[in-house]
Amino acid sequence: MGFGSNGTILRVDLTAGTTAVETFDEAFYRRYPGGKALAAYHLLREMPAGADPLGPDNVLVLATGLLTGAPVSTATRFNAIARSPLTGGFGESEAGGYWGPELKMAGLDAVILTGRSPRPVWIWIRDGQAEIRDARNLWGQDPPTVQAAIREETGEKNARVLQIGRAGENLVPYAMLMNDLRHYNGRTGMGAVMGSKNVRAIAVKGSSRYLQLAHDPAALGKLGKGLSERVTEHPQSWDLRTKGTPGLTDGLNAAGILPTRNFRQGSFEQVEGIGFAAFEAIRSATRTCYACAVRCKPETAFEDRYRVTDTYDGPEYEAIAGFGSNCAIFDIQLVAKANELCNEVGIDVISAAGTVAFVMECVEHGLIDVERDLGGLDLRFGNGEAVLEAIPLIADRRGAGELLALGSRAIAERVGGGSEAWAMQVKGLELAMHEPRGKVGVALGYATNEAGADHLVGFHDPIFVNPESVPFKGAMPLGITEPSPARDLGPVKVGIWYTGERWNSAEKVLGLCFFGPAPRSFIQVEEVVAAVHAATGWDVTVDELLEIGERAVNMARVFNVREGFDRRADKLPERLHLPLEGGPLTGVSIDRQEFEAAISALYTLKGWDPATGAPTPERLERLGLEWTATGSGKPSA
Amino acid sequence: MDCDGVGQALRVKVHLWGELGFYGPGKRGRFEFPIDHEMPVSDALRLIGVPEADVAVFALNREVVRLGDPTLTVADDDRIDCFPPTSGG
Repeated sequence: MGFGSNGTILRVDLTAGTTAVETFDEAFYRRYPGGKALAAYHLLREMPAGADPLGPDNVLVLATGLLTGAPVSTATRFNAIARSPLTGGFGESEAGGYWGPELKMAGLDAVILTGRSPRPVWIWIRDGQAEIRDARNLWGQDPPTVQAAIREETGEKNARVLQIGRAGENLVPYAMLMNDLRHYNGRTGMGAVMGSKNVRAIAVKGSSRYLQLAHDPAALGKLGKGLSERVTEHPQSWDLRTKGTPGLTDGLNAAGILPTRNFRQGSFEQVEGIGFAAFEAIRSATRTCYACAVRCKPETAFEDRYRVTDTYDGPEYEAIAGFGSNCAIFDIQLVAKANELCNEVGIDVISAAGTVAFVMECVEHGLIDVERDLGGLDLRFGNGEAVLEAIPLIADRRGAGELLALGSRAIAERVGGGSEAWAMQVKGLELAMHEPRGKVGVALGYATNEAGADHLVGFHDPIFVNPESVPFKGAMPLGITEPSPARDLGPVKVGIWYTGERWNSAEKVLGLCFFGPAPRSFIQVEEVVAAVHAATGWDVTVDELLEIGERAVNMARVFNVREGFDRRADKLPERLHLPLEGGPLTGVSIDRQEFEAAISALYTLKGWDPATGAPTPERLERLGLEWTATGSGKPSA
Repeated sequence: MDCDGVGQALRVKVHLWGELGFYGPGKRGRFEFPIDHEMPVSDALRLIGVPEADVAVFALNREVVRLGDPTLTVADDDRIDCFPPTSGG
């Protein structure tokens, strides 16, 4: 009888050119069940403090969640975790698709890459056996060519291929990983880390099934089938299925929280050019991840002002707002082309678009000269053609791309002139396309998250305004009972945030997509608990899942502390403390003192030192993480 | 209720955005809704079947207004837009 995991991980020492499989027991998994927890554990143990993010000492961990591959909608995710070349801190990014489930079915829960190969390689994994293969013929090729070549070489037409693009080869600090061309670990530069190890791809094929690992396969299968049947009977999952994330644009604009012109405004006067109706006109299909009935993935294909094929995913909302309203471009076709280019070269659309918008503003202020600094590339708000030209330059780090590839924090440090105030990043990671002046809990997440300004680390405030709403009711089993206005930073909101962060972190440990569990979507809290029980046989509770999530967050925080981060790093870009300049929330800002007080209150709830932001020994002990306090990150006993 | 309003005197244009489209007739997000007299917004939403608790932003004739305002009414040819509490994605 299984416990939902293989109990095995693959180690690949790229310097030595060797592979090995290591096993762990069930007791270990109950503490570090998968995903973020499993990966953070190995990163903390194995990466020496101060390692160069792009050097051989960095450790890249690719870890499936506990439920990844289970026949349960949204149980598709895996985490890529390493020291980030963009932030210098805990790097973290999740993706769905098929690669994670396939790894699980190949008899492995995680892959750990250490060292650096002397030449380009790719890694072939089949049913627990791994080999390192020559990738010199693949280096420099576009992603579809690489995927096709690997499938041909292995004779496995359904081999799942995780790979970097040429931006990863060129060590762009916000290069991403992609699997099956359509699913992306976008954030924090995990593609650059893999590129620094001279690994172009990791392909996997497995022949087992998740249910063979489950404690109670019948119960898990029945639960998953029931969820699939219900997906269109819940308003939130129905919405994701019928519209996908592009359905968000109009609502955020109406609420005054659509990032516009590098977060100066919260509403875009030409939103109809990028709104859902415009998107629908170019949508060619919707796709899905492994065994997921939500089917939220938008696909576009058209030949009009631009030619976009259905090779890659999107544009998702983040690209639509990032290259649309935030760059003042009101042409959905151009946005789709920019999205396609980012995928083709392998860069994170959020960081790419955020960096471009920041540079546009620097040009406006005269801090960056188009001729002198950008090789004549006229990056100004509204100039979409310049954006399309910029993306390949970023990937190749040539011309204007040499500057743009640095990311907004490093560019601000270089150009100065007070530009750091509108460099919309935290710890070096560009803000996702969610305006926190209208939903201030998101600001708490942006500021305090170890990986930087990510939007999926906690709950978004608007769903907690009305206790009668569907999402609020979905959150009640987590212990959330009191509503809180979207712009409130009082104790109720801080408490909601603390719960939300632990719950979302647990999702990342379990391998569930943000679009699965309540309160964001249709899988109720008790159904998550039931799925874990059926998979593992463990008598888990909501509290234990929250603690699992909290343990993972604390490992990430310990990692950052070890790398020199403290409370001073948990800060917002100055612009967010200044009034919004347009839209329904004109004049609204985040009060600095109120925000600092909220961070202190949050630290207290989390058991962290309010002065430093470091976890206290007591909290680490409570979470069973006393071993992380040894300094080396290695277990003390 | 006949949502296409044949034979009704007054018609309201309704746009239910995002997940609120779930509550539209046939899960449509855009439709015309018949009313037989000018009425408070809350009454209109109740007739349409949209839970007020799940409306985060409400616009009357493209102007964002506070949904709880008892003086707000909808009349013939008005347009109402209902937006849900948008979350991440």
